[in-house]
Amino acid sequence: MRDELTGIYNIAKKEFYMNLKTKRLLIIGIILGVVFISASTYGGILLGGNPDEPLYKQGPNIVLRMVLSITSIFPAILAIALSYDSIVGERVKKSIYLLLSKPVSRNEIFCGKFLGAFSSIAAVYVAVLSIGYICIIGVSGILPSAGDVLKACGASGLILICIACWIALAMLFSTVFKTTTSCLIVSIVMWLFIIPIVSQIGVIYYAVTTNALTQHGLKNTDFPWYAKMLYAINPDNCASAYSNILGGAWQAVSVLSTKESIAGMVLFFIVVFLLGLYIFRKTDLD
Amino acid sequence: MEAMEKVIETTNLTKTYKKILAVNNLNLTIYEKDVFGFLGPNGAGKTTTIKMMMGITKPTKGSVKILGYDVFKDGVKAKMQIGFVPDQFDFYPELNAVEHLNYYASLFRIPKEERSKRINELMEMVGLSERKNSKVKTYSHGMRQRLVIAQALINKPKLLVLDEPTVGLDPKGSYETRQLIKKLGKEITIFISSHLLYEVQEVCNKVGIINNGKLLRVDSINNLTKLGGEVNVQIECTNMNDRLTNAVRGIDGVVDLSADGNILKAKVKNSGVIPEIVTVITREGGRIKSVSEVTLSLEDAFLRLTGEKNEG
Repeated sequence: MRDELTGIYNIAKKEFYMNLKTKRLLIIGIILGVVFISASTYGGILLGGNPDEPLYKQGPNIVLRMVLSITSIFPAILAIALSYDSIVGERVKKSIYLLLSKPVSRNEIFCGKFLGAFSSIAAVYVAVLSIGYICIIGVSGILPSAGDVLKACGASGLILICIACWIALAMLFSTVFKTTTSCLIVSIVMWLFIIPIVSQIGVIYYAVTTNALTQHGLKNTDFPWYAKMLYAINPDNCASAYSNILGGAWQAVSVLSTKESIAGMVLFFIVVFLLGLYIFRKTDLD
Repeated sequence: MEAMEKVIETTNLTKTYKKILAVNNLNLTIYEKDVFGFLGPNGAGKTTTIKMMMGITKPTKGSVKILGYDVFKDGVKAKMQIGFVPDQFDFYPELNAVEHLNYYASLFRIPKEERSKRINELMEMVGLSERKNSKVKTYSHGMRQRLVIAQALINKPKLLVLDEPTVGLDPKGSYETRQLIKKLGKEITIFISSHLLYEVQEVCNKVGIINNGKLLRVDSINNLTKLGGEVNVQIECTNMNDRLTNAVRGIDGVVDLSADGNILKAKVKNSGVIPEIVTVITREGGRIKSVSEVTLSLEDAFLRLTGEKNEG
C-alpha cells in the first residue's frame, strides 16, 4: 500500500510539474485570472461605494458569488483542457510504453495522472480565488466576518469538487478513445450539450406535466426524485450550491438543496472515476 | 552444477486480434546470462510477444513469467527487474534527460541520494552528459535512442528487453549500441528482437525464430548455422578440368558442386566427405592450395526456417 501511494505521488508530481509548463494552463489560467480579478475589483468598487446601499450590508461574499457565476465555465474548461489527453495522448505518442514498463500498476498511473491534473488546476484556481477575494476586501474596504471567510472556503471547496468531476469525465474518455481529437470533441459535447440537456429532462417533464413553473414559491423539496436524480448528474450544479452557501439577497429556484448538490457531485465523481479506472485496467494499450 | 535460473518463461502464450492469430502457443524459456535474439520477418509476432512480456498487452491465452513472477499477477515485482527499450516510444518533450531519468528512477523507488550518481553514470555511458539538461524535444533520433537505453538501465536490471534497438541509428551509433549490448550481455540476461541478422549474429549466443506467430526453432547460433547437417566446402586448386569436377560430383555425399576458375564450391552431407574429395582431386591431377569449410550464414538459416528460401 505504501509503495502504491509512493507510485501515485511520483506520477502526480511529474504530471503537476508538466502541467505547470504547458501553454494551455498558462493561457487559460491568465484569462481566468484577468477576468476574475477584474470582476472582483469592479465588484469591490460597487460594494464599497455607499454604506447605505443594500449591497454594502451583504458583505464581500455577495461579490464573490457574482464573480464565481461569471467565471463558472472555467472549472470545466481547465479540467477538460488539461486531462483530455492524459491517457490517450501517451498512447498516441507511445510514451506510455516506457511508463507501463516501470513497476507501477495501472491503478497508480490512473490515480497519479488524476491527482497531477487536479492539483495543478486547484493550485491555479485557489490562487486566483484568493487574490480575487483579497481584491474585493481591499477595494471595498469591508472586512468579512470569520463566518464569511469560512463560507468562501466552502464555496472554493465546491468548485474543487466540480473540477474533480470534469477531470474524471475527461479521463474516462481519454481511456476509451484512441485519438486525442475524438476525446476532446466528445468531452466538450458532453459538457456543453449532453449533460446539461439530460440533467434538465426530469425537470422539464415535471414542469410540463404539473404546470409547476407557473407556481410561486417553488422549493427544491417540491421536485420529484427522478427530476432530482437526473439534475444531479451535472457537476455544474455546484453553482447553485455555492450560491446557497455564499448567500445574498436573491436566491434562484434550485432543484437540489446544497447537500443534494454536493452528494450528486461526489456520486458523479466516484462513478465516473471508477469507470475510467476500470476501463484503463482492462484496455489493451497497444 | 547449479541449475540456471529461468529469466523468461512463456507457456502457451497466445494472442489473437479478432481473427488474426498474432502469437500462437509460444513456449519459450530463457535462462540467466543468455543473450537471446528474437528473429522473425515483419508481422511475425515479435513485438506482440514483447508487449505481452512487458504487461502492455494481455494474452488471449497462456502466461509469461519473468524471474518467477507472473507478469499479469505480480507485474510490479516482475518489472522491478526489467529494463525495456521499445521499438516505438517518445519522451515528454518539455522535460530534459535528467528529469526523465529522475522520474523513472522514482518509479523504481530508487532513493534520491542514489539517483543523481546513477543518472550521471548513465549519461556518461550513453554519451549524453553534455546535453543532459537540454529539453528532450531538441534531441536528435540518435540521442533519444541513447536516452531510451539509459532509462532501461536506471534500475540495474537483471533482464534487458530490447525491441529493434538500433533502428534509425547511424552506423557509429549502431556500432556503439551493439558494443554496449555485448558488454551488458556479460553481466545480465538480454532479450533482443531484431530483423538485422548480422546484429543478432554479432551479439547473441542463442536465437529464436518466429514466423506467423509460431516459434519455429530455438537454438544456439552455431547449431542454426549447421542446419540440416550440410556443410559448404570451398577448395582452391589448380589443374582443374571436367574430368576432375565430374569425379568429385560422383562422390557419394556431395549434394551440389560448382566450379569458378580455380575455386571449387561443394555442398556435402557432412564433414566426413571432405577427405574423400581431397583424395579424388589429387588422384585426378589437381593440386590443392587450400580447403575451407564455409558455415551457413544466419541469414540462410533464417530464410530456410521461415520458408522464404527454397532448398536447393
